[in-house]
Amino acid sequence: MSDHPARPATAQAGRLDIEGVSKTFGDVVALADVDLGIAAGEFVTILGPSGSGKTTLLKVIAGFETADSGSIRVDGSDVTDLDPALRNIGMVFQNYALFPHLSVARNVGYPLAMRGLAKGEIAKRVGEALEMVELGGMAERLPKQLSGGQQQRVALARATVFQPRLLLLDEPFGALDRKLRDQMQLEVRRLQRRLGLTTLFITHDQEEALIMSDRVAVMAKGRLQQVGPPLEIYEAPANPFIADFIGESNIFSGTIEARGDGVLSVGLAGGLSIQVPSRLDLAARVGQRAKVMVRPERFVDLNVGGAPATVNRIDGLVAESAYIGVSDKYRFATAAGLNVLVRLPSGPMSRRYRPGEAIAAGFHAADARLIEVD
Amino acid sequence: MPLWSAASTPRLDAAAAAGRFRVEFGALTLTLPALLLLLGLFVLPLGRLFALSFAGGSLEWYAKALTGGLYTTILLRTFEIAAIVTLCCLVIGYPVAFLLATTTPAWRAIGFAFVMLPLWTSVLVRTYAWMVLLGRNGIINRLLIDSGLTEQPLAMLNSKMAVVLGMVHVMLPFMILPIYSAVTRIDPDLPKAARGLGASTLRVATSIYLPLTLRGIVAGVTLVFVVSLGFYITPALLGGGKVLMFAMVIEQQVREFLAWNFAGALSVILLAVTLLAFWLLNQGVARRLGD
Repeated sequence: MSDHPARPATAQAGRLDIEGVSKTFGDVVALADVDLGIAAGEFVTILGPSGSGKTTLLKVIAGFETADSGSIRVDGSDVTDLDPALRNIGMVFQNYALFPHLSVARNVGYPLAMRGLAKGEIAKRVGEALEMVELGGMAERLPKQLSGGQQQRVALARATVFQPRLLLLDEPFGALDRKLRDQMQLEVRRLQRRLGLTTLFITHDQEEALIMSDRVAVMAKGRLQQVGPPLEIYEAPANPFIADFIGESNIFSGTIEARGDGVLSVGLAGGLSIQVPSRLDLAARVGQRAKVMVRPERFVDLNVGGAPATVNRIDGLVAESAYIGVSDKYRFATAAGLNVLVRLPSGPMSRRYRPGEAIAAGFHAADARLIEVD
Repeated sequence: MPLWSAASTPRLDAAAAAGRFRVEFGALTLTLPALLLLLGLFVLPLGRLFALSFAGGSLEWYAKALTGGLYTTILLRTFEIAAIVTLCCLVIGYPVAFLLATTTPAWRAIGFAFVMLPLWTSVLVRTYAWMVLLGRNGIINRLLIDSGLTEQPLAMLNSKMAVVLGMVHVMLPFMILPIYSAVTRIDPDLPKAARGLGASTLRVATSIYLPLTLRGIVAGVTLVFVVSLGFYITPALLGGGKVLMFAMVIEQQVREFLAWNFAGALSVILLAVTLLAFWLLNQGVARRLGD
């Protein structure tokens, strides 16, 4: 057992290629033909609602589930059927999965002991790993004697101490309170950059995904819906599901009335017409039905003096208002019954509306996005 | 503020004390029937035996039991058989408990039915069933002779093997249940985490499952060993008088010789040795688990 084949390889580039991976449980399709390539050192988040298949994908990569078809390759070599013990992949579980009967030091040293390293070498590397996560003084504690955040760090140290080719994180911040979560997000990202580790992160928290990732892969019903940098996912969602799932959004349905130079005119309920940039990748003809997304924070209050002139304007009566702190959130309805969600910056200069008051909200054509035509 | 708290604290304490008293009184009332039952059926007879064994203020019955070799030999044999039974139960029971804890709910229900079935059957019936199986003209000998594997029937009954077989059959559920419960308490992510960190299946068993089920193992071992020390019916019937266990000697003294004082001394010795074994097993575990 001492001459373990998974002895840490010094070259830990860690390019990951997922090709055509499918998996069904009975009648339930967990993964449907998933393709994803992750460059060495990249931080990619799989974002999806619960039941979207993201955890199944992680298990297939780690080797705890077998895919029905498709392949997983790390640095070009096929690991699809490789024993999970030989894959050299570090993983942080949702509940950390620390061994409750082992001290912090022995938890972190576990992967090294399994690789048959000498005691002195294990002690040295465990010490370094614990220093790195700032738990130097906790080596002899048991996991249950640590706080949630400290347990998280131990799990992180254990998953990286053996220089894995890949780091998998399965919703690791779910159990932490908000402040600690913000701190851990930054810390994980710092650690990941320092170690140059290719990282696949799983979360259902879209804010977390946008903050942490080089690229975000949105998943639903076992399929990857869109893969791209956070900015692209937020600004240019590929379909209504993503527009709705990532952040808050207004999705207006209407009919294309006219086509101009890079601009479409879309008629909404009640004779209202809005200007929307056309898309090269989405052919649209006059008369077709279309869906348009506008983020609530892109609206401006046209009743305030000095408001910029916008090409689009929607009038209505405030139905609900909420004070969020950084902004005021309103839901208002037009005479034709169109519901609009807006967030206006809050501050001493801003005007506050009460339910029933008239409001006029404007937005630039560039702040609207055509997301579906049929 | 200080005035307010000074005035209210004693009142709060009094209320808390009253509450505590009520709780204790309620608990006592509820356990009273069980306490009375134990007192009448266990503590009193035991005290009587104890008194009998020291009759006349002498230790002559203890001297007789502990010298001369006969009774200490039987006591040692009783320990030996109990140890063999415990070991067999552990070796057979652990994998069964593990499978029950990790299989699908449907198989678990079926498996549990098979584990629990013996518990719903009288020990006497099960012991006679073994006699039917192992006897000179029993089913197993019949099969062996009819198939031409042996000429003469094998003498399986009335042996230590038969006694151990019968006792393991009776005691197995008491080993399986605590281990099963320990395995189900293990977070299913732990073995996965260990595998992902490079542990082979064998290493997962020795470094994760074994230490985390140690409490269950010790509970099962203690239960099986301690109960086995006092076995009577199974060794009496399957051993055919050739395999003497301590409880049988006690019964013999009372029934055949009406030697109540001596039987009392033997009982106290068995009880003391059993308690000692129980204490040692628990001490070992407490040290191992650090609490």
